[in-house]
Amino acid sequence: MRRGTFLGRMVVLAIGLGVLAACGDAAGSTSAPLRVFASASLAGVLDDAVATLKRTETDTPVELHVAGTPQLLLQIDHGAEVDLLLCADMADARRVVDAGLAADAPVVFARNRMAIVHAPGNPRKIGGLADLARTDLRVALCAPGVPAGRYARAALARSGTIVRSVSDEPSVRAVVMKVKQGEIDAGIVYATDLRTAGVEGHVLDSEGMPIADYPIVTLKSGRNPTFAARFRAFLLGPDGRALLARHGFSTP
Amino acid sequence: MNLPRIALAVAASAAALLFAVPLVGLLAHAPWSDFPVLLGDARVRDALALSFAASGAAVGVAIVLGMPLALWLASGRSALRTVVRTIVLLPVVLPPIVAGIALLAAFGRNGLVGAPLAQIFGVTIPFTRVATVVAAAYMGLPFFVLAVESGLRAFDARWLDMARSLGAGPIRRFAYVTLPMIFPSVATGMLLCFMRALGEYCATQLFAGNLEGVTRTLPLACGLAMETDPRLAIALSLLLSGGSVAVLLLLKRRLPGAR
Amino acid sequence: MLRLVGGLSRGSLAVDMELDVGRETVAIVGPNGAGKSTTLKLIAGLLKLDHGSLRCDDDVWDDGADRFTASEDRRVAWLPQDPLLFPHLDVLSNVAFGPRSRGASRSEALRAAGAMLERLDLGRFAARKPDTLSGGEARKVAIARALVTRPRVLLLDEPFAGIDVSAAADLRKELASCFAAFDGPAILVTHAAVDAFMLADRIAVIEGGRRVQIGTAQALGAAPATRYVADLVGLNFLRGVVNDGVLSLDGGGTLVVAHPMEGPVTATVHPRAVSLHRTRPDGSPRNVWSATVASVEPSPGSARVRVAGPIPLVAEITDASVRTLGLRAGVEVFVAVKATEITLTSV
Repeated sequence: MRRGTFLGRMVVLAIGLGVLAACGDAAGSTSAPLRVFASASLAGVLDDAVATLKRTETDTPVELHVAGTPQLLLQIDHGAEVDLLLCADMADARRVVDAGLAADAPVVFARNRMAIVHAPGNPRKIGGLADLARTDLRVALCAPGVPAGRYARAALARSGTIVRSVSDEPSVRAVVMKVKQGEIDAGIVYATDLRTAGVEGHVLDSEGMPIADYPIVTLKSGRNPTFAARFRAFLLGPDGRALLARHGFSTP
Repeated sequence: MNLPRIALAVAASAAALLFAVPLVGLLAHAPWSDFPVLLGDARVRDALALSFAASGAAVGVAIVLGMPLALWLASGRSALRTVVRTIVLLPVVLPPIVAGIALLAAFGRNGLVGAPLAQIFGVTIPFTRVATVVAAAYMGLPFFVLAVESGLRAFDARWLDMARSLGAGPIRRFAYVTLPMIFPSVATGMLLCFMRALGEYCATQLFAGNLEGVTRTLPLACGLAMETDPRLAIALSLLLSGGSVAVLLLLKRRLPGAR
Repeated sequence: MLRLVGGLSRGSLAVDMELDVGRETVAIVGPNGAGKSTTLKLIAGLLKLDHGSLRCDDDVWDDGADRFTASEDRRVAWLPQDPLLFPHLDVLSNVAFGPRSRGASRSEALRAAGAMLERLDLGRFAARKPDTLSGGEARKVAIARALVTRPRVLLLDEPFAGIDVSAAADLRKELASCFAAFDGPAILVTHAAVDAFMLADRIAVIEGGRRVQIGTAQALGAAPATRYVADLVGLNFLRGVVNDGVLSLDGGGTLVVAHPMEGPVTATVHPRAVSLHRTRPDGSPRNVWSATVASVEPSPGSARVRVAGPIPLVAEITDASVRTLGLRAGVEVFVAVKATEITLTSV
């Protein structure tokens, strides 16, 4: 086990306490819980995956920790014991590999297209990316440092559209929320975000539009490699692919 | 052996540690070598300037609007005052996200005030600097009102009687007697308001948006950095903590136990 | 000429006053909670009459209803027990506050304030902050601050409370000359009868918010209307000069005193400390002289006997003693006063 720094130990301690509180009697079970770190946009689909696995396969508890990828990487850096990392960018997965923390090579298990999000019924008649340049519209994107912001800008550049973002949001959730509140007319988010209640939009699925790849990588620090392998296989297998599709992801 | 005293010492140390450890943690993880580069970044300087401008403006709003309110609140006891005081203090206890939602509901594009404002005058508040000030003032004002009201309530009205008997009218009494004599409370209120405004994150993110150089204040830059570059987030956190400690040191004379 | 008839009632506080003050100094004395300070506040315009009226010369200041002249427009010098010097202003600015408030320019106000400080010999304090002054100094500054506004009425509430004996003597002298120079109604609230006797032309005794008696000290002492008046105001006050333990009275005669004080004083002798005898008494009293009984006035449980002669005094004697000694007007008696029973207050 890697000797963690102080902050890392505090994080682990906090997570550990959370587990104790959440799992109660499960702490007595022989197999260690499976700890999955996942990018925020995967929260919904992974909840379903865990529920499915619990029903059919095993009683091993699964701890699903969902946050922005940089935070996940920071926590892994600080010694969090993690079985699987599922993130929204191959570059992030490679960083884990380069740091020598990975037990296998990252594999893309899901893909996500970008989408324009707007109010239900499309009251502002937004037909495509070009419309986002209209001065009568208020548009927000994710900040350039956030993967969704990077993809959104790539999409706009590809279509030759110049958009003045009124707010560079820290997450797609924040963009969706502002559309919902009616404070902005449109934004660019992941296709899967269109499943959120209260918004509509259309997927940017034409040729050359950016696609976010979601890699899965097994980490050395994990304490339940057996179950980690099963979880990985499930996501990559037909049942997992069906589940991902139901959540709006495409699969490779 | 004095058991209660030992127990007290242990509990007190634990409590002090609870506050000290996170700060030490920040210090331990600060990317010290990159610090000058990180903090010299124009974006950080923009955020810092924006934060100070918005917080300063919030203090200005607090003085202009909060002072009369505090005067009225302190001028007596009535059910109406209790209701108003409760409403004014709400932002202190509300989760900031609720405050942000409430601000949108009031001044947003579809808000109670915001919608007519946009239709009649073509003015929209969200995503502008004004919005950062509104959010900062909304969160900071209660602290100012609270401090000034308590200063006014502790103020001995006999000074005003004396000023009155010497021929001073109401404006003169306020400007030359009340204000200088409650100045410590006013200063405390201004500092607390400024600090709360400076630390404001959630309501600003929701209500003012997050655009570099316009509405991205230091806490927002810090929150965004957490999504993109956690090292920068730690540096910004330290910057905010350092600023807060500086203000608290300024406040020191006014805190209980100060000499 | 100040005339207050009426008062106010607010909870346990009830004042119903009748008070006429001309160009003189009237002392208001009374027990705690009698309504002394309230009366001053009514006159100062800091409280409003419920009923009755308050007028100063021809101006109605308060008619108990709609007519009310605000305090700031009355030009009344109100000097409460606490001098209330503004702590954030230096002494000069404190004194300049009144003229400035009444419309004087800054330089005029400062000039007037400086002149007033010099007049009261306070010039050296001009740049000091109030919290560096002693109690007596602060009070004198407060007086300067009040006088510089050229008030129509002077109101002082317990000016000697909480300051030490020598500062009080100093202040008493200051106030005496201040009252003498003041050409309007002045009211002095005090609980010490000796101050009332020394500084006021007349004494008004109030109890339970009502004026129970008003008159000169002599008149009150001779015929106190209530037990309280008798106890508090019905004292013997004698003026004189102490020299080496001997008090030479202004009206003639000497008394041996036990107090280590020199110079002009007021001596206070409680009527119960004056004993009357048909024969020269033996023992310790060193002040013994013969005199004639001028009058015997019954009061509850005892009698007040006035003796004439070089040192006129009132003695309070039990009814039984009056009978035993056969006291009545014209009887010759020996008057005895213990030196230790003579209280001195320096002037």
